[in-house]
Amino acid sequence: MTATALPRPRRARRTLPGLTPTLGFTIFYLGLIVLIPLAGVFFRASGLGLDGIWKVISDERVLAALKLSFGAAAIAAVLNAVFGSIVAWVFVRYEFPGKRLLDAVIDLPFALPTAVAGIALTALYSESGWIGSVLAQAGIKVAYTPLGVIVAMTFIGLPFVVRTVEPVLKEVERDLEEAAATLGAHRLTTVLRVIAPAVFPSLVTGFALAFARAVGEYGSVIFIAGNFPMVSEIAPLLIIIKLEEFDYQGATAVAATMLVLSFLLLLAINLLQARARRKS
Amino acid sequence: MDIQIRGVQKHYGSFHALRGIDLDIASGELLALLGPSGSGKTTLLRAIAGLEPLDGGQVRFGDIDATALTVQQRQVGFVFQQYALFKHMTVFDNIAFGLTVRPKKQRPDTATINKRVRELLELVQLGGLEQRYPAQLSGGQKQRVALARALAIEPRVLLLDEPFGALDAKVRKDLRRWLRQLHRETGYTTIFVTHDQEEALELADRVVVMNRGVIEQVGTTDQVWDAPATPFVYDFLGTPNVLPARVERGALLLNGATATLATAGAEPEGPVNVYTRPNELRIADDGDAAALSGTVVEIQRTGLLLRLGVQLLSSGDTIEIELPNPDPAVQRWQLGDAIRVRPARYSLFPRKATTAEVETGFDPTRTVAEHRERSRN
Repeated sequence: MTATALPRPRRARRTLPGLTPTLGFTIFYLGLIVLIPLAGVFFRASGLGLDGIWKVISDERVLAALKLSFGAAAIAAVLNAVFGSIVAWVFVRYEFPGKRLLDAVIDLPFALPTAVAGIALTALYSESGWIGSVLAQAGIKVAYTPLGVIVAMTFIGLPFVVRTVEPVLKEVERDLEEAAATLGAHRLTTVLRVIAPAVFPSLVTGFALAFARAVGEYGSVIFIAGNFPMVSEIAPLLIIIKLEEFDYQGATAVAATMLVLSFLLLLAINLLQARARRKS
Repeated sequence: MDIQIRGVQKHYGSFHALRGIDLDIASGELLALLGPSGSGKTTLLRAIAGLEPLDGGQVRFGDIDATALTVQQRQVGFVFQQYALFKHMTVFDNIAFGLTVRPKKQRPDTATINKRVRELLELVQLGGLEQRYPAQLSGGQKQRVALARALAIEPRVLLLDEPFGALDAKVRKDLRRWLRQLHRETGYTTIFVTHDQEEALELADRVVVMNRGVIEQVGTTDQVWDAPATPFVYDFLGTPNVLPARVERGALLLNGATATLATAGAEPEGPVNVYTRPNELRIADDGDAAALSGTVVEIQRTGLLLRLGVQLLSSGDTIEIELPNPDPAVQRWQLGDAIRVRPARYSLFPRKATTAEVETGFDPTRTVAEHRERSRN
């Protein structure tokens, strides 16, 4: 019997083909759409040198704007995480008349031109508006204050939390709650120890999306904010102001700072989420 | 703990799921609720656990009126078909859950909980797996964790809803045997739901056969198998042959046949159905006056059994007969052979004028779980 040597495969092949072209495309696409424009920002800003950038962002007005943008966005995202979860819970767990209609309303902040939202919110919350006039009697001013910024950011961020939590909550089987009940767990214990951990990773995703959107939000915020320097002026507006003053390098310095901060925060959130997800 | 169920009623919308159930369960008994889907067996189990609020009736655990207790207070161990394990918790935390959620005063200390969980892990033969997550376990292992979790609270009664339904045949068989043994060791009053008659007969001390929200028969496995109380029970346990006949002057006449079968004499005169299982039919001699003549129209050999389809000359109906597979050299049936058979054992049930039973509110395209879900909202 003659032994015929089998041709040896040149290299081990992956069982799932197509890694090279798809990964290649992913990097190319990300580069074209995301990385190159962002690199441009850093390139422009680098003309100032590190000292120059530090000088721009350590300016009181810039610091106040950055603080407002990130602070208000964080508060808005927390509010959305809490109330968005409740909305998602209601949609998943209960049937009520007008549910479909309300379901569509949730997505409105996605679809509405942000300027329209801004004008509507301003009309409502100004001292002569429906809600604003009531709040004014209680001594609370919303329009043209940082509170107004938070209101606008909460408005535009709501769908992110609802839409990420909803499908996950749907998957939490009623069996789990019933099992917890037969084991003696009361309602609150069940929600905290059984349902919340199952939903937590998706809630973090929703929080991150709402936060990112709120940091970058411009249109709806500038109407209601009133844009008083040091008080209710957000960082994106400051960038526009610098651009209009032909201070391109100053504008890109603020932009680059926002970018780095946002990236670090999202990275941290992603890591937190990966940890939560590894368990289940 | 013994359980008494009295006049339990449950509706889901217009669907009447439980129609006045009365049942006594002795302490330490292993009881099967057997029935087709939509029969109310799972609803009854959930009613005992307190997962379904009742529309009427009472459930008592010994001297305690369980109907007045919430699910949490009832202290029942419930095992779900789909395990319902907490996915984000380890096996250890799953089993300890029922102990750790107790109010501070009644909660055992950590050392006691640790000890108890370890004992349970040994009991369900999963020692060493306490740090795994449910996703890392096989189906059979998951179900054993679910059982250990239910046992951790020292339940008054252990309730299992189709506990082996999601498992493959081999694992199912092993787990059945293991559960039987576990029951013998622990002695918990145990009720399990199944639609598999073999499972019910093999595992249970007593079987409750349910149909359309009522109990058809309660009895030991021998009783329900040997003396089915209703045609439904006969039908559900095995596949009997049903032969239309009539009782005249104490004699039983099969329709279209001249042969007369003896009756016990207690049957009322009139049209009846003769129920006889394939293994209760015998091949008759030519001289047997009570035998039925027919033709072999089907031959099937399954391992130790020989199954023949026989078309009766008298009525044209085809009946099935099951024989211990004889030596092929001695007797060999071929299609078209003439054959004579007689029922060695049979039961008579009066034949009602065929009325189509209309079930109001029950949409067969929808499962009971869906009825339950809809009525909740």
